[in-house]
Amino acid sequence: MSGRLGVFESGETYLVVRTRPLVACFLHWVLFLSIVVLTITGYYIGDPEFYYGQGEAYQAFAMAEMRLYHLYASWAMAFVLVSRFYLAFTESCNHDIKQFLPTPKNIVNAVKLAIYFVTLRGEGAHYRFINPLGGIGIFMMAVFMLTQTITGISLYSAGTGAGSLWWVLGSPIDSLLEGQQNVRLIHHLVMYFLMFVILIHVYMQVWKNSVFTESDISSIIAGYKIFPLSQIGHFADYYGLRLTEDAPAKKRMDEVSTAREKDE
Amino acid sequence: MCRVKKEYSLKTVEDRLGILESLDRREFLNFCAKITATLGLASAFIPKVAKAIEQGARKPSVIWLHFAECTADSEAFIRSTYPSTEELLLNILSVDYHETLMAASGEAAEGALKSAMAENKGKYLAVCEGAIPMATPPGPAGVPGGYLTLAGKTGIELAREVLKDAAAVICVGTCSSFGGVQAQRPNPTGAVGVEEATGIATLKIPGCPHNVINSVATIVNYLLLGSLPATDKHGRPLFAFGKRVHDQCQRRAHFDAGQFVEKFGDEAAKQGWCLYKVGCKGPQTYHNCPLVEYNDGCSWPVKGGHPCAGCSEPQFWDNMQPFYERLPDIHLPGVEASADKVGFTLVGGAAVGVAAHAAYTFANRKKFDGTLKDE
Repeated sequence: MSGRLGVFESGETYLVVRTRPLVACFLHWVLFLSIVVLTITGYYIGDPEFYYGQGEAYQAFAMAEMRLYHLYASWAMAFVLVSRFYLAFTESCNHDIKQFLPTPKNIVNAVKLAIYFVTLRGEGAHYRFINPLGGIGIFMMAVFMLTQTITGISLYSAGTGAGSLWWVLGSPIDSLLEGQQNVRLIHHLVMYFLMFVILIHVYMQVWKNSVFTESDISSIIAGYKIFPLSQIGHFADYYGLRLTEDAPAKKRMDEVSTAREKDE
Repeated sequence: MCRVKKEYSLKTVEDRLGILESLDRREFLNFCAKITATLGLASAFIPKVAKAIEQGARKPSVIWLHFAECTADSEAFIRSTYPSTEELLLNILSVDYHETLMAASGEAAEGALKSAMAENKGKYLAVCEGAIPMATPPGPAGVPGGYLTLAGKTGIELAREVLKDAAAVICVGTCSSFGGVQAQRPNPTGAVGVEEATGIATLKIPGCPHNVINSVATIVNYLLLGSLPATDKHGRPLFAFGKRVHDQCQRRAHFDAGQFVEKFGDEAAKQGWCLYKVGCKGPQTYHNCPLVEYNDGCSWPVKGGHPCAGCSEPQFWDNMQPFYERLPDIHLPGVEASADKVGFTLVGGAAVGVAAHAAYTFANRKKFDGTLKDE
């Protein structure tokens, strides 16, 4: 897969590469919004602190509204989970299921990357797509979100009555975890686990965006990453780039190099 | 307001058994309508319910066993007003053995048990109250289940002996249903519910104590149809345990409105608002308390201003504690804390780590010469 070459104002050559389709970017932000809504409304449902119904009981629906928005957002999250899981097997997303799964190879690379990120020593690998550490983080998030969906169905089923579809789906979870209190505890606790991973995920993206030129943040908005050629020449394998075989790109790169030499 | 019955002025069982006056027609039909509604049947069933109760010929023999418990379920049972205790014990049922209520003691009592079992083999109803300890006490005399002995037999021996020939086994109260307080961690006596101890299927009417209207309705169901009512996955009758307390609660409107009692005795408590924030377990508990209430429809905990403790759920002493908090604590090796404490520590730790890493990166910014965007 080739990329589009360009030149920074400083004269350095850069390469613009597609990292994910726009639909994946869209799903990411739907997920982001749903998690924000789920966290705020979920925290309220667990511990109603900051918003109270005013007037008589029939005039206010504070908790009912929070629960409704929580339900809407959970549908959005479930939709993203399913559709992104499907996309992870497609060519457009570079079959990135391989990067999400904690395979031994991914774990080894993730540990190397984690050591580099923490110590800032050695050489950090640049990845065109999702790096192994990020992949494992996303895998954890997916597991946590799946747990929230399953426990959420169980909590929702409790009020639907025996025999309903939700009951059929949720009741076995209730039995497995020995009661609704345990389901509720896990649902509440996993929210913190999710916040833990999301906090690190957001920080790492901002950090990489600040330190490197890869522009991770714009890659999740428009689906492109920008790499200076000087950085990625010896990492081409990681990007799946065929720089030497890509005639137009090579030609453009040579032109830029020649132009720079002339300038100098 | 609570309807105060004249029978409540009679304090003792003897007093109550001493009345032996039959119900008038209006009271009897009132009772039949109530039982029919509790069973979830249409009003057309009221005459059938009345007939089933009147049927003297099918008066089933009942053997009531006590295991590890506090006798609260017997106390609850004799709080029945319609039918009155004496009607229930003597006319509707033939309670042939009940350690607390029977007049006989010693060998005479044991004889009553043996004869009731022999005469009604395969036909009697066994009602169990209390959990069965299964652990072996320390010491040379210790035998399995030895923490409970009755007439020289362990509780588990007695249960197996009596329950094997019963037409049906009904567990009243949470202890006999699921183990109750005896089975709470660390459960030194190894107490378990009757079904788990004996392997014999039981119908469970949990509650601490159970509500007599549910046990009477179950018996009426048995008299009416010759079988026990349909049950949920825990073996509890669906007519009483098919819906959550939360969904039937008188304070539910305040939950949906977001109006909560913050602490006992505050203005919200005086207004009768929702007890969710002071630990109400109604959203996790299946019981018909809000509909039938206790003491002949007088009241129930939430109506009286106390949160539901979830007493009809399995392992409620472990799962529903702390009783005045929404969520249970986390009990893991080395961790005994609330979910929020664990969560705040985790996320707070991550935030501190992130801040430290940002500072470290800034201190080492020269390493990124040529790659830092602003350089």
